Amino acid sequence: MTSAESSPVVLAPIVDSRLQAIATQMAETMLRTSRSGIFQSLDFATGIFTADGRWIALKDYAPVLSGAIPPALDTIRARAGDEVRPGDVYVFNDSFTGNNHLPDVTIAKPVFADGELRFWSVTKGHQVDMGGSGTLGYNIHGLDSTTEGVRLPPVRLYREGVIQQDLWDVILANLKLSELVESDLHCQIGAVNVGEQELLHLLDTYGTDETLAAIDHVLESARRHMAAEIAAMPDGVYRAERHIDDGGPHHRAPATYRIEVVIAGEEITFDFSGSDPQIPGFANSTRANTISASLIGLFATIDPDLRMNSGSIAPLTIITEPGTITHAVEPGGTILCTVTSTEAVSECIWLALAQAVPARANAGWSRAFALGTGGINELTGRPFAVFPAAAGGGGATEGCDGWHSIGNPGFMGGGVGVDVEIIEITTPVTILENVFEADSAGSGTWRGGTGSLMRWRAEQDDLAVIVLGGGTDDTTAPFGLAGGGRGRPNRSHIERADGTVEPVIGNSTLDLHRGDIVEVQTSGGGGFGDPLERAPEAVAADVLAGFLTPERAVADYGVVVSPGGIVDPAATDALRGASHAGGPPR
Amino acid sequence: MSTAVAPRPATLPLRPGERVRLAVDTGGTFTDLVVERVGLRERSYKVPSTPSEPSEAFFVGLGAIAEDLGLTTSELLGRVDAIVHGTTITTNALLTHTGAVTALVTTKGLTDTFLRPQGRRVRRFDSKTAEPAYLVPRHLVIGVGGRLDRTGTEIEPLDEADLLAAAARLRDAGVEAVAVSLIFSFINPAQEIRAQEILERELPGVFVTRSSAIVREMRLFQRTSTAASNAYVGPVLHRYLDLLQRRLSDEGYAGPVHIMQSNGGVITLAAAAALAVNSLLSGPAGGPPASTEVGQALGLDDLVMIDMGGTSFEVSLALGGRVPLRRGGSLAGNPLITPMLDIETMGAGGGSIASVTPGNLLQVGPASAGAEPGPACYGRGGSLPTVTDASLVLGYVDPDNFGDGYVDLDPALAEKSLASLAATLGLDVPQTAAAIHGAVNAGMADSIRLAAVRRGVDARSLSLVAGGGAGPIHAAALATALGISLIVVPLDASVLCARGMLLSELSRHAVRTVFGVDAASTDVLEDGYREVEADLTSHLVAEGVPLDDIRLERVVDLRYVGQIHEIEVVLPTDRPIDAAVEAGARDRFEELHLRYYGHVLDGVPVEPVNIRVRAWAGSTKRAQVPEGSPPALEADEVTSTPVRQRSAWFGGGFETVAVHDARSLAVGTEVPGPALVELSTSTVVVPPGWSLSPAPSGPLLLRADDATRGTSR
Repeated sequence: MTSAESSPVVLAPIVDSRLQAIATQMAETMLRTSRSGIFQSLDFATGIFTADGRWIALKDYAPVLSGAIPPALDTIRARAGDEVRPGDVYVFNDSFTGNNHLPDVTIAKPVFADGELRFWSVTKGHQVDMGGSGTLGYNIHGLDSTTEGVRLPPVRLYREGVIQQDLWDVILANLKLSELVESDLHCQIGAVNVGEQELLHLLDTYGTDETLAAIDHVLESARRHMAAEIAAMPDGVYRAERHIDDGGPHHRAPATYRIEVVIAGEEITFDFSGSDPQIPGFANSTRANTISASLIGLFATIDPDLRMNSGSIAPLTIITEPGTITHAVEPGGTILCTVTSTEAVSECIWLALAQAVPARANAGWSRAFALGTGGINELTGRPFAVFPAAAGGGGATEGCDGWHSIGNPGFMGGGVGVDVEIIEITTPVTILENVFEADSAGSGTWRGGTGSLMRWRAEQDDLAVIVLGGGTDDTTAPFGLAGGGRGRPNRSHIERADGTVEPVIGNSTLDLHRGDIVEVQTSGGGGFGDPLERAPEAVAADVLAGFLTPERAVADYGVVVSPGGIVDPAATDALRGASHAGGPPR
Repeated sequence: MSTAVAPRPATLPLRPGERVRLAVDTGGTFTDLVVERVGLRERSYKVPSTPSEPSEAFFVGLGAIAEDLGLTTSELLGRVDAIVHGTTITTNALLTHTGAVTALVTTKGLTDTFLRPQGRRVRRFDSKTAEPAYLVPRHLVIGVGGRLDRTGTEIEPLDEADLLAAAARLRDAGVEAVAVSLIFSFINPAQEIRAQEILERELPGVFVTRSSAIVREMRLFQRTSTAASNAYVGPVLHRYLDLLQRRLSDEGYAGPVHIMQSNGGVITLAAAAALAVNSLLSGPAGGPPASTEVGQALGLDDLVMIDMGGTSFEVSLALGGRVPLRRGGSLAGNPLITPMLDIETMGAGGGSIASVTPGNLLQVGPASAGAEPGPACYGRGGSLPTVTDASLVLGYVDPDNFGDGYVDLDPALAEKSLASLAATLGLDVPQTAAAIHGAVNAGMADSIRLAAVRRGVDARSLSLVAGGGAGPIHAAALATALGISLIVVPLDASVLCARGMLLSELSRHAVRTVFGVDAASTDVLEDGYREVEADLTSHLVAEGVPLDDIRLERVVDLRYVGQIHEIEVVLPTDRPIDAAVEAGARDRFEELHLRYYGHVLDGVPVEPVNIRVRAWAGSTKRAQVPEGSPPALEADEVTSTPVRQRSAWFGGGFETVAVHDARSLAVGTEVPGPALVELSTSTVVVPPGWSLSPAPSGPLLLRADDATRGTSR
């Protein structure tokens, strides 16, 4: 091979393609060998790292998980130190030392070639049960982390290829669904083994030094790409804050996340240290989760062709203060962090970056609000678990309307809902209605995506239900940007079989009985820009499609339009002219 | 540009009484035609496609064949037993969003099921891509009252007043097609059938389709998307086939016209439009069967087949001589639940554009110069460097013999297009071209690897069949990267799909979900199969197939209780389902589970999810000659062409290598690499460590030398 052919500049795209394909192959392995529905709904991610812990490839089925792999691996590497041996397999889920929340379990295997540590092959997946006393894995009533489940520091499930059955026995003895978890841990291990084999093959093919030099080139290219993105943003300090509605039964009050974004040349800092102190209950973020949510916020604001790796995140510094809601310390409860904290953190970033680069920032996305239940289905005699969730709308950006009913920022639209026929066949839930809801989105030159109305009925008694999420008032509903309107807050109530109506409070538990009906209305996304600037034809199209009522077309957009979508140009001109003269009619 | 291929030996006129079959494959750029004659090699023709009215090119092509045989078009058609036709008309309608004005009638309260974008946002972090437009605009999605429960039992009757009101609205809106898709219709289609009757009565001339008539499988979203897609392209296909049939009968043709289906079989013209959704892969579906046949003639059953053209790279596998079917695929973002040949497509081709990221990392694609303006070397105004420009710079492509002689390439323009990229990368122009090949080959090799992994196969155990204009250029590099040691290059690689169509049989597939429907006892399964078989058989008989010609295959989708992914297991058809059949199916399931996923779950019960029946009928007769005719003598196609030489890039530098003409290679010749072998449409690159020889059955074989094997790159 000549020097040009094996030069980093030539080899880099080849090695990069292989690494992404290996991460994908690991993910496919998990997808096909998992027995829990959770991996199959794509609540997992894979990653490949160099010996010194640099992140070089990922498959980000669940973005909220993938961004939390690097801090987890840092902790595993620190613990492993010089003891690391070929054939070791580490497991890790401790929230306080580098993980996001306990159910998201990291499995990492060191990859040795010719006696030298070269790579780490890693998976992170939401396990169906990691102990604790909650419903569907979430303990609403826990005051702190002690009720959330089994904490695993970085320990070895295999040592030099030998299974450590004692440790497995300890872990599994703490779980209700031990059989499923044992199987899915093996599924994660199978995936890191596949990664190991393929990585060794990669080194064989191109040579160790050549491959590592090509990896350096890939990372340096990504660093320069991100540096160019940040250099194009105006230098300055930008501040924002968002709060969550509440933290569950032990903290029925808001808690605020604060960010200071510093852009200086080619570097950017997210400083969350001004956030509220951590709160009792289960809603605090871990540092790893704050990092993961930060990456979601940042990468949705820059060139979408740039992938996450150690190069592209090098210009980013994330500062958190231990003991705050963005960086819980023992014994703070954190099991909800992948939902509410992820939302609040990414919103902070978009609000702050909107001051620097308004054209790039997202208006607010809907926050999650869902009721879940599980147990034994009396109709089939089989166990079931279901979150019949109605997804809310995505936020608008300049030049682009938000997507309808796309879900919250944790998955960035990558989540996959369960089909209504599968829900009804496998669970005692009947979906009566699941439709987009007119007027739920924020108005704007670019409007938010529409939220949904979901109504479902319980078909058996004594169903234990958990309610997760917030976004239920005007201050936590999806915000608008640059004059765009906010989305309608999440709302929910229950109609009991006897006709009584009860409100539903976020982050709580309740029981449902046969014939009770749950109604959830999810937020639309926030809008971007002055709604009076929205093209009348676009407003008319939304009216025709039923995303907007003619009344709101007049009130929010100054467009007079028939229910059939025909614009009255003269009346519209008159209304919009008057509005411009006297300010918007809002 | 001419309308026929480069000069070649004259064809023999038809013998008295000789009958032929034709394949016509309408592609985006060219329409390929193949004439099948007994005792003679198939002969192919290529004419430019006419996308605005595809039947134009169809008849121009027939004219070219007729002229070649010294006949008029109607004289030719008088000698034709059957025409098999692949069309991209439905695919194009879907891709360019130019299908029928389509409405959807569905269960009240669930009207937005089909419009949910979850999972469709492929580029998670791309905040500047708008939600894709849907096939049915939301104001034409209408909910009607009526509900079945989870067992298919009616708990609320179909609200016929709702349907009448819907029909009135749709009439006013001028819709051309309506899809009906109701919850749990896969268990009990009665409400759907009634709704279809009412809509057909109320909306004469409108194309009405229902989900349960296309696929009786669980999952409302996918079933609805499939039905909506069927409605969207149905009228388009109907109009086109109507015109085609009229023009054919004007020329006196009354024989069968068969339309290629996505599942690798064909359907009669009369029945095609009602199942238009099954024609969405009509074009590419001919490729895998043809490649499989080429492989089988060589005794090769496990193949990876690639087709690399100007804009796309297609990969499919054949295992044990069969091309697996896939379900749950999607086209242009529209999920489809009907079975189709498992062909994966990625955006890599000769037109893929090379560039660097803002961080200076070389990348090839996803942007493509397409056919217009095309690569820089086409001289049609393109200035960005493409894979084809790189191939020209590297000497792999003969500028005067490219794309059947339809395009003259300009090497100076290719070099010019690469210059600035070369400066950015700090390489010279040929090194840059080699780097572009390296990058695009890496992406293609990885997609082949993943396709093999998904099927539980080690890519190294496969042989590679290289098709498409650019396939033979890249094949050896891909095979080397994958550890594959045998490559097959069909001589007529560019008309492979048309050839494959002549191999296809009439086929219909049907499915019934049994999961959750009933305790799936052996009796229930047997009854289910019988019902589905009777249904399929009656369709085929109605299409004119004699009952005795129909072959049936039973398949069951099995999974471990709790799993979401199922594995298809073929059941015996010569005996009813009993405990022994069930046990055999479980054994086979575990065998496949072990192969695909590496483990079995001891003690976990296995459950059936869907039952499937595939019906086949080899109804199109092969071409024939009257008994007692003298055997035909093939014109000697081995023409002696002098071996030329060209400078081409091998092993990191230019080398002057032999350039052979594929037609001048006699069986028994062995061409060691480095060398180039010219086909009429492409070049086979034979790198060092590989050697090429023609097989007696026609195709070219590339074999890796012993030293090359096992050093996969």
